Amino acid sequence: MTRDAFARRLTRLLLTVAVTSAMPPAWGGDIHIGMARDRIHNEMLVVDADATFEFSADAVDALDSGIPLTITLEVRLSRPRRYLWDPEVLYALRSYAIEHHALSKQFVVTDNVTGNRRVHATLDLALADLGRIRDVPITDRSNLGEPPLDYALRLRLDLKALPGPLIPIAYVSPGWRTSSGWYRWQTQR
Amino acid sequence: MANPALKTRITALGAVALLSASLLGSLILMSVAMQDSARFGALYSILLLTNSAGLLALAGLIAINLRRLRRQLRAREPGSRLTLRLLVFFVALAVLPVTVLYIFSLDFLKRGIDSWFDVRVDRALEAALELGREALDLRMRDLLTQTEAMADEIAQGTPERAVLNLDALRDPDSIVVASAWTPGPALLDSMRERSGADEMTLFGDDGSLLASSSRISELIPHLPAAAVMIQVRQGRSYIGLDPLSDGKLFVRVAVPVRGESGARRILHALYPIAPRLNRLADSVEDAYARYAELAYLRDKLKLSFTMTLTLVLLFSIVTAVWAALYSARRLAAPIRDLASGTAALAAGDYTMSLPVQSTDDLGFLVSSFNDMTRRIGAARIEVETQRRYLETLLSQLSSGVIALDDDARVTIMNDSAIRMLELAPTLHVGSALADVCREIEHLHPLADALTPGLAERREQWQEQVVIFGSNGRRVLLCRGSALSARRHDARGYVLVFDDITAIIQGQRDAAWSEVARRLAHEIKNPLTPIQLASERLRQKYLRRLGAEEGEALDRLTGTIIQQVDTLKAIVNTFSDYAKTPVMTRASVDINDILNGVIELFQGAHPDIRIEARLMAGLPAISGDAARLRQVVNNLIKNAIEASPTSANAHIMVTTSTTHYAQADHVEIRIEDRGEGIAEDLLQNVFEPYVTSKARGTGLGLALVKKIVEEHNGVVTLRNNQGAGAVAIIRLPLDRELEQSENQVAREAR
Repeated sequence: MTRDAFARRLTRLLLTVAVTSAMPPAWGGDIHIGMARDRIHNEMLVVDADATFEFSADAVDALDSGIPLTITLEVRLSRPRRYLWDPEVLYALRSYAIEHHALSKQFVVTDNVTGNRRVHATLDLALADLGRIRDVPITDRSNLGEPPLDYALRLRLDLKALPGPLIPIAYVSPGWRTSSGWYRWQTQR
Repeated sequence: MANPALKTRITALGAVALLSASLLGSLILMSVAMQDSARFGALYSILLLTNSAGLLALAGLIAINLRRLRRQLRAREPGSRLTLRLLVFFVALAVLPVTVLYIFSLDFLKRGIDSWFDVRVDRALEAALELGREALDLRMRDLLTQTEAMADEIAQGTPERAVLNLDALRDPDSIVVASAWTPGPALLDSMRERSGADEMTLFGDDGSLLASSSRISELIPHLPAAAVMIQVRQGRSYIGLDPLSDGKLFVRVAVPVRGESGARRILHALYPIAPRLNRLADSVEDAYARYAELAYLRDKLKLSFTMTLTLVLLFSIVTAVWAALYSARRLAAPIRDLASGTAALAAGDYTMSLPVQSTDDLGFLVSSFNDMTRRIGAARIEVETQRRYLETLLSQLSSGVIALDDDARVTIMNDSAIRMLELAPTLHVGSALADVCREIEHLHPLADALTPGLAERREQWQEQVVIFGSNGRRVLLCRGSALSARRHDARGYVLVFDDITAIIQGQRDAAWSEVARRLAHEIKNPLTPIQLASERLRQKYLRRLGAEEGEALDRLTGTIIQQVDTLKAIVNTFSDYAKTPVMTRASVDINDILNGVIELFQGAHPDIRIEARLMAGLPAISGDAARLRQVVNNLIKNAIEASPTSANAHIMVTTSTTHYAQADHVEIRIEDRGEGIAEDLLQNVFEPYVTSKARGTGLGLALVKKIVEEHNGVVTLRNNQGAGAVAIIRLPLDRELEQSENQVAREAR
C-alpha cells in the first residue's frame, strides 16, 4: 500500500468514526427534552422540564432484573460574553433513581436528594412521572447576578451508578449510552 | 555510585519493579472491586484502563528489547543467540504453567458462577415471593372490604366540606399551605383509628381533597397516583402494595364512595403492614432482588472475572517475558564481553580488560581471560623487543641477510641486503623473492641461482652470482640454509649475501702481479744479455765473414734482436696489466677522449673511415682519463686491425646515455665491419691470452675489461647482425658529480 492510499484510508476511517460517534445510536436509548424553563419561586431559582424517556432493551432488561437505574439532571448556568468564552456561574446536579419492586410489581421513582418516593404500576407511568420535572431548586436568587444568563439542562443515564461488573460493558456498549444532550435557553430576567 | 552502568541498570530495574508493583496493586484493587461493587464499582473502569495502560507500557518495553535482540541476531553479534535461547527457555518455563493455571482457573470460575444459579433456588425464590404476595393478599382483601364498608358508612352520613383543593396540591405554581382541615372528633378520624390505617383521605369527584386524617400528622397526605384516581373514578376499587420507604410496605386502598345524591367521592387509605410480616416480606423481596440482579449480571460477572484473570495472566506473562529478557541479557553479558574481548585480542588489542561483574563461575572466566590477555600482551612486548634486537643486530652486519618463509616469501631483510641488491627498503617484505628478482632486471642472475636451491628445499647450498647494478658488476656469494622448525611443512630459509667483488678483484690483481713479477724476474732480465750478446756477436763476426755468411749472420742476429724486443714488449704489457696504479679520479668528458684518439688513428690510417656520432652534452663521469684513453685506444686499434683493407673499411664510434640496472650510464659503442669474432672465442674474449690475432698478446681486451671494471663499468663484445663486431662500454654516472654539475649549470644560468 502506498503512503497516499494509506492516508486516504486513515482519513476515511477517522471521518467514519467521527460521524458515527456524533450521531445518536439507533439501537441505544434516548431522552428527549420537550420543554425546560426557569422560574423564581420563593426567592429561589427553580427549573421545570418535560422529558420523554425511551430506554434501550438492555436498560429495560436490567431494570426488570432489579437493577436500579440512576438518571442525572445537570443544570449549567453561564454568563454570555461576546468575545471571550462564557464564564460558568453555576453547575447543579440532581439525580433520580428508578427501580422495580418485585414483591409489589411496582416501579418506584426516588428523588435521591429529598428521598421522596413515588410508586407506579407500570414502567411507562414511572417514566412519565420521571419526565415531569417540577420545582427543582437550583440556587438562591441573590446568587444569580445581572442578566442575561445562559441555561443548559441535560438528562442522562448515570453509568457509574451501575453495579461494578456492568460498568465496563455499559461504557463500551452503545445500548447503554442514553443522554438528552444539552437543552439550552437564555433568560433576560 | 561510581559505576554508571550499574546505576542505569538499577534505575531501569526500579522503574520496571515500580510499574509491576502498580500493576499488581491495581489488579488486587480490581479483584476487590469485583467483590464489593458498592465500594469500588466506580474505580473498576479506571483500574481496568490503568492496568491495560500499564500492560501496554510493559509490552512496549518488551517489544523494544525484542527488536534490539533481533537486530543483534541479524548482525550476528556475540551472545545474541545465547540470549535468544535463554529467553525462549525462560519464557517457556514461566508461561506454560501460568497458561495452564489460567485455563483451569477460568473453567473453575465459570463453573463456580454457574453453580450460584440453580433452578431449584430460582423456583424457591419465586415461590417465596409468590407466598409473600399471597400472605399479603389475604390481608389486603380484608382491608379492601373494611375500606369499602367505611366508604358505605361515609356515603350514608354527611361529610364536612374540605377546604383544600387536590388540584392545588398538584399544581407547582400554587403554594401548598398546610391543611386547614383539623382532625377532631370527626368521622374520618374515628374511621382511621378504628381501621388501624396510617392515613385516610376523602377526595371529591373532581379530585379535590375533602377530608384527611393522618396518624403521623404529615401536612401533605401521600397522594395516590393519577392512574389510581382514574381507575376509581371509573367505579373500580384499587388495592396495591406501596413500598413508600425503604423496608416499609403499605397497603394503598382507594374505593369509590357512592352517595345518594349521585356525587362520587373517593376514599383513600394507607394501611401499614404488621412489622413481622413487613420484615419477612422485605427479606423475601431483598433476596429475590439480589438473586435476580446476580442472574442478570451472571454473564457480565463471568466477563469481568475473565477480564481480570486475563489481565493477571497477561501481567504474569509480560512480567515473566521481561524478567526472562533481563535475566538472559544479564547471563549472556559476560559471554558477549568475552566474545568481543576475543575479537579484540585477535585484532591485536592486548590492552583490553573486561569488567568482572560477578564472583561466580562466569566472573572467574572473565578474570582468567583478563589474566590471559595480560600475559599475551607481556609476551608480545617481549617478542617485539627480541625482534628489534635482532633487527638491530642484522642491520649492523656487513653481510646481507634475507629470511624467507616456507613459500619463499621475504619476512626479514636487513639493510646490507637492501643495499647490495639495490632494493626498495620495505616494499618487498611479504613478496616472493623469486618474483622480486624477476621484476628487477639486474637481479635476474640471482633468481636463476636461487631457484634450484629453494625449489629442491636443500638444507645447505651456496652459489656465486654476478649482478650488474647501478654500482656496476658485483660478485655476490649467496649461501642458503633451511631453518629448522618443528613442522617439516613450515620451514623457511635464510639467505646470506656477501659482496666478494673486491676480494676476487684483489685475488686477481695479486695473481697477475705475481705473473708480472715472475716475468720481470724470469724473462725480462735474461733478455738484455741475449740482446747484448747478439749485437756483440754481430759486430765481432760480421766483418770477418764473407758476404754470404755475413748476410746470414746479420739476418740471424737481427731476428734474435727483433724477437727479444718483441719479448720485451710482451713483458712490458704484462707488467702494465699487473700493475695496480693509483686511480686518479677526475671529471672526464668521454667525448673529448674519443675525439683525441679518433684523430690520432685517422691520421695514421687515412684509408679507414672512422665516423664519430658523439652525443652533444654527454654528462661527464668520474674516472681516470689516461686509463680510459687506453681502453678506447685498445678497442679502436682492435677495430682497425679487424677491418678489411679495402676502401669499405668503416668504423663507427657512438656515445649516448642509457639507463641500465637502475642507474644512468654513459654508453660507448665501437663498431667495425670486419669478420667478427669466432663464436668459440666470444665466451672468453676478455680473459688473458685469448686472441684471434697472429701477433696479439691476448692482453688487450683483458686490460680493457680490467680498467672498465675499475670504473665500476661493464664491457661487452658481440658480433653485429650484418658484419663485424661491436664493443659496448657502459660507465656509471657519478651521482654526486652529476648533482654538482647540475648545480653549476643552474648557477651559470
